[in-house]
Amino acid sequence: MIKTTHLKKQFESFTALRDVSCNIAEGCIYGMVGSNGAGKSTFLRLLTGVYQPDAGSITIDGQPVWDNPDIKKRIAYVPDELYFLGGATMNRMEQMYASIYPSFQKEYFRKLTKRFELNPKKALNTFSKGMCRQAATILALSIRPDYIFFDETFDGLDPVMRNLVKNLICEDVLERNATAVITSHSLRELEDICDQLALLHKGGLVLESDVQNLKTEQFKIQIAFPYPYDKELFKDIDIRHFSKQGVVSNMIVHGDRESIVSKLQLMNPTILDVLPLSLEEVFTYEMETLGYSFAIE
Amino acid sequence: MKLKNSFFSRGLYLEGLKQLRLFGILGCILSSGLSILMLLGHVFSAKSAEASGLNYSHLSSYSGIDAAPALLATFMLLAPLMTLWLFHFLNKRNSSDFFHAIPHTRLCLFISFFTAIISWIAVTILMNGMVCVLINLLFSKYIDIAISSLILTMLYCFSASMIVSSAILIAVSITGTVLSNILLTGMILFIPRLLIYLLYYTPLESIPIMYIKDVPLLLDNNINPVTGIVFDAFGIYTNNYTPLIDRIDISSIIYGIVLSIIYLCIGAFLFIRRKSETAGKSAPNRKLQAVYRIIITMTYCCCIITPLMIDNKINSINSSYFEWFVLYLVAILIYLMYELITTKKIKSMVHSIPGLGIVAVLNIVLIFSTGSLIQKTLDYAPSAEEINSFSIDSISNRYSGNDISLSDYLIISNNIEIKDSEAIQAVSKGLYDCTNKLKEGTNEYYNAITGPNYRPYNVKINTNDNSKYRSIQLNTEQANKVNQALQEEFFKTGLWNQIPDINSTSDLYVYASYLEMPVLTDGQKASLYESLKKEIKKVSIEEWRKCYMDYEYNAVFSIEYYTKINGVSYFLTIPVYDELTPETVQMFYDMAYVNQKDQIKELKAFISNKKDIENYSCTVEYYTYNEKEKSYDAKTSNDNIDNLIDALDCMIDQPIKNKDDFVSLSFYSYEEEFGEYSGDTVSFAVDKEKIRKILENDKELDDIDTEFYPE
Repeated sequence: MIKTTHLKKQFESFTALRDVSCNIAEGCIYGMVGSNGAGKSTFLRLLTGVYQPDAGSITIDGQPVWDNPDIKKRIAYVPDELYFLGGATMNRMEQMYASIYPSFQKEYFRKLTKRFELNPKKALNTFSKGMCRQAATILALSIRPDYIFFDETFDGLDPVMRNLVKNLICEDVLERNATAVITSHSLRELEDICDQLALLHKGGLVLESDVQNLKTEQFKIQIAFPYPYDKELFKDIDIRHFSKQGVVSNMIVHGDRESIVSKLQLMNPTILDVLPLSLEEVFTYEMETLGYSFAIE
Repeated sequence: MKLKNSFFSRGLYLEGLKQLRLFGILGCILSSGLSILMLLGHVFSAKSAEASGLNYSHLSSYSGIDAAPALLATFMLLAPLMTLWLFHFLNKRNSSDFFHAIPHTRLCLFISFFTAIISWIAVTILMNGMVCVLINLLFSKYIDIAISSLILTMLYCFSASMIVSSAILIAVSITGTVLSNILLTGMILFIPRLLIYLLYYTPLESIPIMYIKDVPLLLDNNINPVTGIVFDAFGIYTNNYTPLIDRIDISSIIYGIVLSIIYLCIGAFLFIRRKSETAGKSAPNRKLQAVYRIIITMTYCCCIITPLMIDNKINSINSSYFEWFVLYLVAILIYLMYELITTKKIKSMVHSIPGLGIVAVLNIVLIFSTGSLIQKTLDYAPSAEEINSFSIDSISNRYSGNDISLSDYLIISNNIEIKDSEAIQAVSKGLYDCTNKLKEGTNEYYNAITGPNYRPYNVKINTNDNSKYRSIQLNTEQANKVNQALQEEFFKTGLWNQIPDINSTSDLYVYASYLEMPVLTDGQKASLYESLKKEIKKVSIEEWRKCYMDYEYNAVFSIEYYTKINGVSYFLTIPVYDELTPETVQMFYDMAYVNQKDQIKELKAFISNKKDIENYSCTVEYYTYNEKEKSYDAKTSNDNIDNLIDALDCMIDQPIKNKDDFVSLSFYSYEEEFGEYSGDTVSFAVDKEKIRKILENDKELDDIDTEFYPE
């Protein structure tokens, strides 16, 4: 399990992360979303032991990460800025990873290379950006890590490769109970793979929740009545957002769907439609509740 | 498991070796290749010469650096390139993050990669050395490499490589760009020694009455292999004509290793604490950036202030305000430019301006302390009552590579202390006159105090409080008093009938005054030296004095070698006199006879038929002993082959006898095939009557000056 407690990281006068506390359970796929400069990459670098926190703590399975090889050997990290040796091929990088990571599996590496249809003998500096990401992902997964950290990895992949990588992550999580932390500035990318989602904004963790809960506990209701009404009619219901055009109202409601629908039906509406919300809409309305106003892609 | 990972990783080490293999392989090939080319080149050339009948010794001697010159490149090129290459991951965010995320401690990464660098350096050096040894074994007829010198050179270059590499590791740990890596490395390697030179040596060397004596080992630049070689090449610090690489000391190797270990520890400490976010920045924080900036600026300031202060205090050259202004303007520019070049931000440069205040304060301290040091030196002039004794430390004005006679050598090396009041008075007055004149300026000093009426002495003055070394000029009267006191004391000690012990006879040179010098083996030189050592003990003071102080006689030959007294190098010449040590002289003649036997035989055969000889050059020198003068009279004839043949006819087949007549002749004929003269020179014993008859009959002979031994 990954646990961060009041995590803080500062770069000279700029605070990249402030008071971030979270728990990431084992076998979870944890998505972290936020705008540019929110602190996602900083968070991952703290998790991988690249940075040392200025305050607070990070532990993985109860042990600190910083300068701890026993923990680090269980971590694979694919950063947003990739690193390969100058002029190296995938085979050369395989040698390098094998000498650095004790659990690196060459067979699995070759299997993945084939699956991704990459030429391991070709120099990596001739690969496209997406291919480089694939190569980095292959190398990371070949470590067979218990903890996989991806920093905006999907953003450079085509849809087919994106799905392939997602499948591989899911395989690892299911088969070996691995834990994945994936950051992105696109909720759409994380929606279908992550168990938990967190929203980082200006260095602070503003929202963290189970994806299923997020999707089911908030929904949209379109309702109309034959008589005049206003928002007061729904005072027993947790409404996040209310708008009325003519006789038809649109409400974003938080709570148990069935009980709320039953309650509304008792009011004899002429129109009662329950519409699901996309994760993006959920986040947007949650943020409004919290007093934040920003747009996510 | 944890302990295994803490310090060293085989995987990282092998990875480091792989990343450096291009440098390593190229380094091995080029350095060994250069040695092979050079040495085999000589072998082939010698073999060709042999095949064409050129009968001279083709054996060529090589010191360590002569045989393997590319070893210097290991610490000048290979070590810095390798270290910067392997650790350049610290200069970019992506690579820095990668290596900080790997499952190894920082210390493990540091040590493993450093070991990889040093492994390649060691392989390059060893391979080069082994190649030289192999060639030496296979072609010993043509190549003679001093193996001990080679080993010393290899260790020296290895030690220097360790220093360079470990200094770079400190630099890369606290900077984040290639430019700042290199700049800081330069600061670490050279600025401390440069500052010592500027602040310690330069003022002392510029003051004529000072000389650097018994420099504390750590302040002696020669102890540092890296700065020693570099500064020696630029003529900084050095006062020795022999390049430093040809006079390597084991102490500098040990110093290099110890220094590199210290640097490594500092580097490791800093590396462990290095933040990955330093990548791409010239310094991890503004304070360190300011420190680097100030160091660079202050180094420049030391370069200008020290000479200016010396000019003002000693040379009476008063710099104008404008001069000072311009020089400090340059300092400010250096300060600002460093910031601009390393950070590439004008804003940073502007923000750095307040730091000039620190530079100003440091300069005030520097000016004040330099001035005080110089003034304190000039004020030192103890009275005769305050001086307990003095001794002569060396005989020249700070230059090494001096010629020294045996008498002076014995006087100085035995640190004879003089307590004679008149001599002390002379020294005290001499020092007082020197310091007084120097306060007026160096021109006044040199005009008034030096010249043919003065003799320089480097003395050690002992007072109740301390002992100080000064280089003083004594006038004739003062010098005579000192010399007299020295001689009296010297002969009292009974040390006069000695010659020094030596470590190795291969360092001896033997020069004949009259004879054509035969090539002596090390064994023969050793025998001569031992014989001289024993014989000289039996000599009386008067005879010794006549030879080694008054130079009444001419030496038959001399034994010479480089030696050191009190840290100063000298070239000691010990003349050998037939009047004083006849057994040793006869031994020398016997050796010449044995060594030249084959040459004489060949020469006789070669010129037996004079009709074949058309293009030749020959010289015959006739040496006849003058009993009255106790020296040789000599005459010569040039290019007269008949004289040469007549002289050969006078030859008797035995060694030259002490105080007997002999002939030296040389004969060279032109070899068209090679476009050069080949031949030989020999000396041999002759029938006295026959040779004197030749001299009586032949009026066309020229006189030769036989005053061979200089005073």
